[in-house]
Amino acid sequence: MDSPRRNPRKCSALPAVLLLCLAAVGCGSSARHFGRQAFRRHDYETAQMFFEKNKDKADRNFVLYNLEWASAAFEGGDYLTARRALETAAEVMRGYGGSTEGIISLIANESAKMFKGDPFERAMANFYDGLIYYRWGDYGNARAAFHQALMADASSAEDHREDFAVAQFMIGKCYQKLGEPDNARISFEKARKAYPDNPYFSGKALRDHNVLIILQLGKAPKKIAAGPAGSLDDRVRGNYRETRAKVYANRKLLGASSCAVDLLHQAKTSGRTAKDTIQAAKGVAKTGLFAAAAATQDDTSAGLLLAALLMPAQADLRQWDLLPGEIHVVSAKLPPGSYTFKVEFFADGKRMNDFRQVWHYVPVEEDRDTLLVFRSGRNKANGHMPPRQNPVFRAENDEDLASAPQN
Amino acid sequence: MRTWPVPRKTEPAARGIIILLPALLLAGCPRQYTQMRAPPAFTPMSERPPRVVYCNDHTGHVAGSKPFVLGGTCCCTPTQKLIDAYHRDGLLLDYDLGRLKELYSGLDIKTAHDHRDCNNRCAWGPHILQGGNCMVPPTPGTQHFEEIITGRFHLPEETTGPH
Repeated sequence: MDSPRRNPRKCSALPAVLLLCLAAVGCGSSARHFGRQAFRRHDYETAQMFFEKNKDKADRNFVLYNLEWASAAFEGGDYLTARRALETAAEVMRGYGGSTEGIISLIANESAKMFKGDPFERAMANFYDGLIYYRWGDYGNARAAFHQALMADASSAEDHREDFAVAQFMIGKCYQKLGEPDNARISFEKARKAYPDNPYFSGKALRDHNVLIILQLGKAPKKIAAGPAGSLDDRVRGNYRETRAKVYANRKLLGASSCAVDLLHQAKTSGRTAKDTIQAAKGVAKTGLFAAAAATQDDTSAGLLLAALLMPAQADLRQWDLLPGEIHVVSAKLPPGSYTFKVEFFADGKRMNDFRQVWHYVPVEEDRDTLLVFRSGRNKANGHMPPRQNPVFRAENDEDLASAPQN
Repeated sequence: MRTWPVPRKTEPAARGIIILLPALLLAGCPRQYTQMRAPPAFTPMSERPPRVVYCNDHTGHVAGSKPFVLGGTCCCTPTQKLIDAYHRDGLLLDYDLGRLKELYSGLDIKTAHDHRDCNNRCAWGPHILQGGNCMVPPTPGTQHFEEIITGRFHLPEETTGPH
């Protein structure tokens, strides 16, 4: 047996392998990686800072970078930035890739193509856009954005083209605000068709409601490889337990949440496209080449094996994974004023204590609807408060008034 | 006698790798990439609203407070209603709305008259309390809002990340 001492070449391979392993694992030093880490910790400001670094990177993930940036900005309450990022992403998502993209998908991996998201991901981008407009009281543009969300979902399987109920519901709310009650009623009916048990989809109850709470529960459906040689993609439910929420305003129960859209259902009913047929064909061919290589005893076996290995059949597993798993709604009527909102999340009927959120001084205005968006998460609204720091005092040019901050 | 497994004579490339490997391990990952502060243990947030130290449009003006830029604790958007409130409290008697707006624009401070819903992360951010030039009221229902009204800020992440 060769000892390492006698065979220096063999021994020198060890550090080389180690070095390669280290390089492969790396320090995880990508802005996206750290942005996602911060996002999961609900540190949206840090997440936004990391995601922003990639926003202009013009590669195949350009849309994904902007969607992630938008997610961090939206959850962090920076709706101005979220709007900008969503607009940038939507421009590319709506665009036609051209014949070049078709050729690329034939000869290369699916993931080499520009990411444009699945129909439900495109619908969600438009949905967030609509929510921002609605918040601003711009009901015309909000309605247009929610319509875009429905159109994005229209490329789903035939039976599921109008089941993006939360967008239908929001269109109804916009119509109500725009003084078109008949159109509003039609939209609410469509929403009710998809979620007949949702009590908030009744137009009558909604007419006087001025507070609308959108609750985002759980994590995005996870994309996994399926089919021959992992050439197709499938979705499974993200890892989360929360199933519903209760919202309180000034300690009074406002309502229990009701599901308005399940993104796993949306993802699973996206419908198969020509891309999937090509991918399945590539997967079958790859499996066939492997089988042929195993069955062949002569010199061609190596060639077949190499061809099978090089065959780019892998499914594209990129996804906008900062999305929630479900969207719930609560709607209510409150007199104008300042409120403390408490949100409690439940899993199998049990309250999840460390998911509790309390937000103070939330204004309910007289002249427009109040739209609040909350997202579930462990340790999100932690009551731990650091000691007060002295703010930066600014007055330099006004000698009329005192020069030290008053508290 | 125990023999060392590393050969004395190695190829130059392999030798380079052997030297490089401990250096890489010693250097490690840059600190800012690896040190993420662990969140504090969950403490339920009180449902009782905290005392508003720095008032803004959402909390409503706290009587007796003068503008932050003039040494006070008021971060409300300048309006006629606000000027009237200052005057009622005997503050800024020589100021009218125009002069107060000029004061802010002279200091390059942006208010809700300029833009909104940025949660102080705009180009003029952070919030003036944090040394920035944005006095747009923060978004209620966010950690940042709770921090601004109480003046208790969670320290920013030390991570700067890759450029």
